[in-house]
Amino acid sequence: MNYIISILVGILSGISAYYISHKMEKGPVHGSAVVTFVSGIIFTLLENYGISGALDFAVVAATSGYAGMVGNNYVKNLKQMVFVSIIASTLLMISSTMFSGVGGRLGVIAAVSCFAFIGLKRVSNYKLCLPLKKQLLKSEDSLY
Amino acid sequence: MNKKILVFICSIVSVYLTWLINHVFGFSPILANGIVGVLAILVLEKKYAGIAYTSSFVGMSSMAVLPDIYSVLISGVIVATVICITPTVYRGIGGKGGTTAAISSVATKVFYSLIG
Repeated sequence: MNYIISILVGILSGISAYYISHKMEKGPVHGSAVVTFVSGIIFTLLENYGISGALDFAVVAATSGYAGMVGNNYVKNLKQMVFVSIIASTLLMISSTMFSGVGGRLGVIAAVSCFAFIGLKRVSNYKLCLPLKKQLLKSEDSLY
Repeated sequence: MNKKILVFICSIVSVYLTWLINHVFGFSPILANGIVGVLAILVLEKKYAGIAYTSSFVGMSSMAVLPDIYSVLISGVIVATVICITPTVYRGIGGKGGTTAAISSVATKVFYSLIG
């Protein structure tokens, strides 16, 4: 259950940061800072009201917010941002004990998820283009 | 004023503010980072807000990495140096700032353990 909520929080914060950054044209720092600030306030209040583990969701939100700072030449739209957010949230849960206490850990996870998405996109583009490339090669052969 | 001096001032102040909100005032590191980020976009121009926000990630470190004010100052100088020498690396990748901060945090911990 926590996993699903984390993914949903991650998606919401990732697309919010991306939307503020690119659709509202405020810039990546603005987008990420606002998302981090708002999630920090909301989840701290929830923790104070007795919902234990609420601060963990703030960490997920911040990580996806950092991933939302990605340029629109790499992540073209909000749909793609959803995938990046899912990767970032999953990576965060997998690596929850690694480099604990080191500032910038969440940013590294965000960067890795962006690289993973860019890599996956390139691989899928290459596979989709393979039949086209084969046809091209055949047509070039027939010319000679 | 020289732009590089401004970068160093932004970085040191930002790391210190985040560390202060996080460890002295007792807020969570996420909220500390958010507060400094919002302050940066309100007060500074775009370029320097980005630098302040990146440096703020270092201030999210635990007391094991940044135990006192001297380590905060050293980390501010290190993160400013890393920002100055890597302006184009990974440009446009979300998390570039965090990676820069992580490198600086680890470098600070190593440096601080060596001297003292």
